[in-house]
Amino acid sequence: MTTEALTPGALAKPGTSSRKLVVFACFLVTAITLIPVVMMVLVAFQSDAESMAARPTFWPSSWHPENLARAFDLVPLGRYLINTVIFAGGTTLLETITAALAAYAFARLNFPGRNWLFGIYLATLMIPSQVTLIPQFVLVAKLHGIDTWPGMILPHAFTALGVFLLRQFFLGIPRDYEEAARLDGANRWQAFTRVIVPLAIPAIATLAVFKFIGQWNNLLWPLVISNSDATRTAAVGLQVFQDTNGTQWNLLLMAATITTVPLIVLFFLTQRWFVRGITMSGLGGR
Amino acid sequence: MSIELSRRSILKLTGLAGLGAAVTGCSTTPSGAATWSMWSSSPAERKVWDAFSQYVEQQLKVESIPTLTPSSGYPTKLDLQLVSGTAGLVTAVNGLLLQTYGARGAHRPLNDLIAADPDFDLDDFYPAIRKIATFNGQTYGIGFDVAPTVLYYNKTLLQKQGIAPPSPTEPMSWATFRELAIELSGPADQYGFTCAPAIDDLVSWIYSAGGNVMNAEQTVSTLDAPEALQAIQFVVDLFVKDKVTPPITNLVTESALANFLEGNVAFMQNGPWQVVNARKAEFDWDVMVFPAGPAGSLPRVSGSTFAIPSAVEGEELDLAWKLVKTLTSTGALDIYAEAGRNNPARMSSGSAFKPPPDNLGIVQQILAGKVGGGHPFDVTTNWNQVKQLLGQDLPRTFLGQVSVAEVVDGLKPRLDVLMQQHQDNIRQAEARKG
Amino acid sequence: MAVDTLPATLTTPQPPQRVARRKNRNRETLTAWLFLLPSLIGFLIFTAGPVVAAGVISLLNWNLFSAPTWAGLKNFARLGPDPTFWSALGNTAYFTFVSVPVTILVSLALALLLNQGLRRIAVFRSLLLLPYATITVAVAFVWIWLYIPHDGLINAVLGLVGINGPAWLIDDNWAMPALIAMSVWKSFGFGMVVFLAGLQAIPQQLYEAAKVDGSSTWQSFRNVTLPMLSPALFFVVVTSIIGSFQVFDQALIMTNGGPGSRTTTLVMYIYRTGFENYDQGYAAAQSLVLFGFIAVITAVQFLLQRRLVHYDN
Repeated sequence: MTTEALTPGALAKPGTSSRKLVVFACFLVTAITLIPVVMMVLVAFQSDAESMAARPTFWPSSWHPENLARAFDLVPLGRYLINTVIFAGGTTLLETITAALAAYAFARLNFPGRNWLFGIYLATLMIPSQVTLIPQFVLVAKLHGIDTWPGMILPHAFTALGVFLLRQFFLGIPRDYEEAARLDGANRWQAFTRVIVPLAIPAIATLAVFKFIGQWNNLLWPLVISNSDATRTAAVGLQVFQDTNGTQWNLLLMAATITTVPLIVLFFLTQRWFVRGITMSGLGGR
Repeated sequence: MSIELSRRSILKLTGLAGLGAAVTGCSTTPSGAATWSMWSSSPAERKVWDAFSQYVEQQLKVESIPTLTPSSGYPTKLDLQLVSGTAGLVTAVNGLLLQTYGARGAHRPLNDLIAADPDFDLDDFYPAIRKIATFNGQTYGIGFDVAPTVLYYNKTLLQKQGIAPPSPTEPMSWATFRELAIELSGPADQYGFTCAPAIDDLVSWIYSAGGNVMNAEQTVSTLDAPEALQAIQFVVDLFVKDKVTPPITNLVTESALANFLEGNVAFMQNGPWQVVNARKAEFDWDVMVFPAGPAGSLPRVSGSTFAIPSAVEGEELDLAWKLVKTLTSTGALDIYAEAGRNNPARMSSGSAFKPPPDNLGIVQQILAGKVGGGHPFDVTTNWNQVKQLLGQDLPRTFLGQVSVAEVVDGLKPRLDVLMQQHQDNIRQAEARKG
Repeated sequence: MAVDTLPATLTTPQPPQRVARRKNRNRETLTAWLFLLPSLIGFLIFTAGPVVAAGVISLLNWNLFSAPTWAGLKNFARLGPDPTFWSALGNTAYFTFVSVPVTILVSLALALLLNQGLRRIAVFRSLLLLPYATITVAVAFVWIWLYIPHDGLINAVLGLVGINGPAWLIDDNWAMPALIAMSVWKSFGFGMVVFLAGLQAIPQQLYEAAKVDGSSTWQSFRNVTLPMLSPALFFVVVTSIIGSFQVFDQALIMTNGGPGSRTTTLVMYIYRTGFENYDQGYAAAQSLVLFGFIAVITAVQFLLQRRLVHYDN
C-alpha cells in the first residue's frame, strides 16, 4: 500500500481507508514537525521571569497575552514590518522579473557564450556571502546608497538562484507549445509571455515565495545597511531583545512569531498559483 | 515588430537606470553634523543615547546624528563603516577591541589632540579606563564607562541558612569563599556559586592570584605559570570537584545571571552592569568585593570608550574632537549615571548605582582604590583569536572532560604563537606610523 | 586590390538558406541579449562584481583598515599546513553529505504525501512551510532548549522509551548530528514546495497511459514520476549541496563551532578569519578554495545530468 503513495491521487480516493490513512499521516507529520514552532509560540506568552529562567519550561505557568502589545511597544514593529515588506517585496519583484527573462534566454535561445555565462551565474552561488559583504557594502557606500531603499534592495535582487530555478523549469516545458505559437506568427516576446510564462506560473510562484521568505528573514544585510527606523526591517528589530546583558526570550520569540505569521498567511493565500491550471490534453500523444 | 519592441524596452531600461541613479544620490548626511556610532539594543539603552544626543545638540549647537546598532551586529557594522568611510566622526569602541582597531590603523591616536587642548583633563578619568584606552603607549579612546567585577549574593538564601551576610568591603579569602559555597550547596537543588565558564570570568581569579594570560611584555603566554594554574584549578574545582555550581546545559546560552535569578544560587560573579537586571530578582540581594587571592582582590575592570576613525581629518577632526569631549564630559556622563546601567568613566560624575541595595556604592570605591582592588582587563591586538582559542578548549575542563593541566599544556604553544602575532601587529603598526 | 583581400564569404554569392540562417542566428543573439540585459546589468554590478573583488582580495594582505600589500599566492599556500582549515572542510563535508540526502528524501516523501489530491492540502502545505519560514535566530534557540541534556524535550521523550539520550550539543560525537537534524527540519520545506510544483506539472495522461500499459505503481513512479521530476530534483540537489557547503547561521548560534572545533564549518572559519582576525586575504583565499570544491561537485552533477535528467527534447 505504501508504494501506491508514489502515484498522485492513487491513495486519495474519497471514502477509502487509504484516504483516511493519508489524512492521518498528514496530521501526524505536521504535528511532529511543528513542535518547535509551537514551543516558540508558547514561550512567547510566558512571563519575563519564566522565559528567562535557567531551566526553561515550555507550557506557560501563566499566560501573558499582553506580550503581544509589549512587543509592538518596545520596538516600532509595525513600521519594521512595513519596511520588511518593501525590502522583501522589492528584491523579489526585481529578481523574479529579471530572472524569468534571463532564464528564457538560457533555456530557449542560442547565443555565443551561453554556457559560459550560465556558468558564471552559477559560480556566484558558490561564494559565501560573508566574503562578498565587504565589496558590496563599499560599493553601495560609494554610490551613496547607505540607508536608502535602492541601496538595500538592489544588491540582493540579482542573484543566480532565480535564473537557475527558472531555466531548469523552462527546459522542462515541451517545445511543442512554443513551436505551435510561432507557427501562428508569434515572435519570441509573445511566445515568452503567452506560452512560457503561463505554463511556468508554479515555478515562478515558487521562486517568488522562496526569495520573499529568504529576504524577509535576512538579518545581516539590513542590519548593516539601514541606520534609521525608516529602513530597518523586522529581523533587525528582533535584535533589540538581545543585548549584552542577556536576552528577553518571551518578547524575542513573540516578535519572531509576529514576524512569521505574515509569511504563512501570504503563502496560504497564494496557493492557487502553485497548482497547475492548464491541462495538457489536446496537444498530441505526450 | 520585434525591433520596435526592443527599442521600447531599451528606453524603458535607460529610464529606470536614470531614476535609480537619481534616487540613490538622495542620501547624504548634512555637512557639519555630529555623526557618531554606538551600540544599543533595548529601548532603555536607546533612551540614554537619545538623551546624549540632545545634550550634544545643546552643547555644540549642531545636529547630532547617532547611528545606533544592536550590540550583536555592532562590530561587523563598525568594520564595514570604517572600511567604507561612513563611520561618522566618532565611534564607540569596546575596551576589548580598542587594541585590535588601534593596531590596524582603524582609529587615530588622540595624544596630539589632548596635548593641544588645555581644557581637557584626562586625570578626571579613572586610571583603569585610561589604561584600557591605551595602545602602544598612545591614547586611542576616551572612556565613557568603566566597572570592576563584583560578587553578588542572595541575601534571602544566606539568611535562610543562617549565614551572616559577608562584609561588603572586606574581601573573603578563597578558602573562606569555597567553604561558604560548599555549605550553601548542601540542600538539594541549591548551589553556592555561578559564573561564566569562560576566560572573561577566569581572569578575575587569575589576576587575584598574581598571574595573567600573558607576561608583562606580552611576548609569551603565562597561563601555565603556577599563579594562573592555581586560579584556574580553583575555579574548575568549584565546578567539577566541589560541584557548587548549577550544571552546564549549553555553553552558548549558559548565563550566570539566569542561574542567579532562579533564586537558588548564593553567589554570582558578574559586573555591575547586571544590576539593572538583578533588580528583577524576587529575593533580596546585594554586592560585595571580589574574593581576595594570594595577590589580593583584583577582579578584572572593563570599560568602553569613544574613538575617532583615522579617516577623519581637517575641519571634521575639530568637530570630532569636540564631539568626543562632549560625549565624555561630566555633564553627559551624569546622564549616563542617572540611567543606572553602568558606572561613568569620570571621577567627577555622579554614581550610577544608588541603593537599594545598600552596598552598591562600593563600585566607585573600588575604582577609586579605596576598597578592594581591580585589574584592567589586559588584552592583545588579536584578542578575538585568543578568546576564540580559549573558548574552544577551556569549556572541556568545566565539563570535567579533561584536566586543567592537560588543557593548559595544549593551549600554551598555540597561545605563544598568538602572542608572537600580537607582537607582529604592534611592529606593523609602528612601521605604519614612521 | 580590396577585392583580393576580402574574405571569400563576402565575394561569392551565398545560397539563400545559409544567409537566412545567419540572419536568424544574429537576430536570435540580439533577442537573447535583450532578454538577458535586465538581469545581467544588475548581476554584473551587484553580484559578480563583488565576487571578482573577493578574488582580488585573495591576492592581498589586508586587515581592512590599512593599505593592503601584495601577497600573491601566499594566502593559498597557507591553506595546506593549516589544520583548522582542513578540519573545517571535513566538518562541512560531513554536514553536507548527510544532510542533503536526508533533506531531499524528506522533501520528496512529503511532496508525494501532499500530492494525493486532498482538498485541505493548501493548509498542510502552508503549515509544513513554517519551519522554513521562521527566522533562524529565534528558532535555533528553541532547538537549543530541545537538546538540553536532562530537562530538554528530546531526551525526556527518549527517556520515556528507556533511552538515555546523549548531551547532544555539548557531546563530541552528537553535536554534528544534532545540528544536521535541526538543519533538515529547517530546510525540507524548500525541496517540498519545488517537488510539489514539479509533481503538479506532470500530465495526468502519462500515468493513465502507463496504467493502460499495465505498469505497477512502483513502475509508474520509476518510469513517469522520477524522470518527469528529474529537472526539479537536479535543481534541488545542486542548490542543496551549494547551500549546505555554506552552512553558518545555525552552527554559530547553537554551538559556536564547538565542542572544541567539531562543528566549526568552513564558512564559520572564513567569517572568523575575515571579521574577527581581520585577515581578509586569507579569508578570500579560503572561500575561493571552497568555491573550487563546490564547482567541481556541481560540474560533475551537470555532466551526470545528461544521462539522468530528462528534459523535453
